[in-house]
Amino acid sequence: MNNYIIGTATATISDVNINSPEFRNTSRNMVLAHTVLGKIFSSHEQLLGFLKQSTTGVFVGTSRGELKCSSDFLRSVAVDGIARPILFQNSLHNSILGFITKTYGLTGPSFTLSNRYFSGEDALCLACDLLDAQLIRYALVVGVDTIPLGIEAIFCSTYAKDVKISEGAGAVLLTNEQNLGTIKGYLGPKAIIQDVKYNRTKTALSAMGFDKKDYYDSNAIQELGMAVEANSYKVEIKKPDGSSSVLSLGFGFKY
Amino acid sequence: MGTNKVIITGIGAVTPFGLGVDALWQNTLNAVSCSKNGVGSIASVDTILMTLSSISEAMNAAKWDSLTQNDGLIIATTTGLTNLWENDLMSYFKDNAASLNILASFKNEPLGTFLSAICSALDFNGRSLLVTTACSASTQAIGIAAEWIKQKKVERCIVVGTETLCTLTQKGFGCFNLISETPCRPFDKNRNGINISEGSACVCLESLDTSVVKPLACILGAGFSSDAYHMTAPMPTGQNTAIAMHAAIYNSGVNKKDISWVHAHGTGSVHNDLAESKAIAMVFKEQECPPVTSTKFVHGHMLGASGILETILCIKAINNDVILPTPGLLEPDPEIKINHAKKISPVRIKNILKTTLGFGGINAAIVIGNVNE
Repeated sequence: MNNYIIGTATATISDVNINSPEFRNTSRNMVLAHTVLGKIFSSHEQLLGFLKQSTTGVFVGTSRGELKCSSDFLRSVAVDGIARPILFQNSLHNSILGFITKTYGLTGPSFTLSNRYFSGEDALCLACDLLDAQLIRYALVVGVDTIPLGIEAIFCSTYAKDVKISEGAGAVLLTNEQNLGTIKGYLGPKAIIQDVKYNRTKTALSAMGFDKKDYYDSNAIQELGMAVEANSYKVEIKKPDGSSSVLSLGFGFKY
Repeated sequence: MGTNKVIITGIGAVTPFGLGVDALWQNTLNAVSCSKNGVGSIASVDTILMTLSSISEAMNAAKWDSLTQNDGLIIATTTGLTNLWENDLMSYFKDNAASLNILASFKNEPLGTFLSAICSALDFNGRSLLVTTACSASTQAIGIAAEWIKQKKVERCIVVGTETLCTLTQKGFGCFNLISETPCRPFDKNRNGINISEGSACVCLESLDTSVVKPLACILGAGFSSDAYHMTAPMPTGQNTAIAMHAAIYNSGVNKKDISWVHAHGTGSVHNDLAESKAIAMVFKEQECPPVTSTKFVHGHMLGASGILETILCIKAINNDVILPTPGLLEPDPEIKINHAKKISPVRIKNILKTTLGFGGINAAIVIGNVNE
């Protein structure tokens, strides 16, 4: 691991104008992912141009993906007897990734990962793996999840009763030691990601001791970004089922 | 990059032809299509049992009794357990009332539930991942697993792709007019769409240090790229697809002239086959193009599982010293300028380039090597 975090951003749905023409025929997930990456790119006017090269990987971690589009598609089939292409196009988990790579012109390796409460951690770890392997030079990691409007009650039934479900997105930009020098004209290192520890439990659905407000399954990337900005060496991310992850950061590097 | 050689020691499959790799292989040799009215289905399919069955066959072949904390497990799928909850959700929409059924079945909705179920059934607590990057998911998964082993992040890794037919995908591809009612005809002038199918395919990857059986083949390298072009259509020029193919060959350390065969994605859709063939022609432009094959006429398009399923056919081809033709290809499209494999040919295969393209413009390629070369 020991990869450098050189950019962080978070986004909530209140940050965006979801009715903007550029977001026509998109989903809330796509808009959030687009917005959070836009915040990273806005840190330097030439950063996006630099990252469009095929050596930048994009990693999306999402637990529930495009459930809203899938359910709208199935509703249309069930109620109207019509299968709508635009809803199917947007219905796979991978649609978020397709949208952001297309709109920002990102041509490198890209991946969608989904692993319930650990979706963000999995995206982060895979990005680090490919940086370690030097298959990519830079990694954009996004964690994004939203509440599917229209089936909120059914959706929330998959969480313990007291969990306050929310939606949001976090993004981090990573690089490895070998490539830190080439990006330093745009951004400098903020922290080193040293370790990601998974503490899985087999506990049944229970919110006992889970007091996190505004929780969403892939929130690890947002939590990581907040820890970087707060210079925290360690962040524990509690999950609604009693499991957790611990992300370890380093700051004492020379640059 | 790590230098550990990554070998394949076990393969397993459940397809519309039945349980086991042999059923798939025999029907492939005989060019039998599993497709009826555009789909290849399995009677009374159970997604989790089907997945465990293909894993079990592969583990038995590799002589792995169980998994340890040092092993890895990667699942590739696009829809996971969607077939278990979508009908209840549609009933809910029709009746406008939450039934007990939907509240029970919807617990299967998160893709992570599928991964947890498989890990739990195998009593596995090591490193796991679910890749859902559309139809390139399982080719990506093989590439990731190979990297994990090279970097010694895991000792051995199960990579399993599973796809179950569901209303979402059947109606979805149907509304794009992408499904051919007849067996698909990749690269043919008169191709008119894809056949979707269901099943599960598994490979066991490890290094020479851990293997206790003779390796079947090896994974030499992987390459990935994105089109950044369209949500569903591939980039017509194929140029970014070619980047993934180039990267796979470069990362494998193989000379292009030592690619004996290209096993293509070749879905039978007008746009995929044209773009992919342009990419292949671009990669091999300085030399004679190796024979190119798609076998989707036989097993259909298993979406997120297709990369592993077709890797298994590549492994069988290596072990039987044959190159397979493209069944269903009667009149090659004159716009597709590649070297079509026309019949089953006895050939000592050195290396195979296996390619996939997915919705969202996701390209993945791997180089599969003959361990005896």
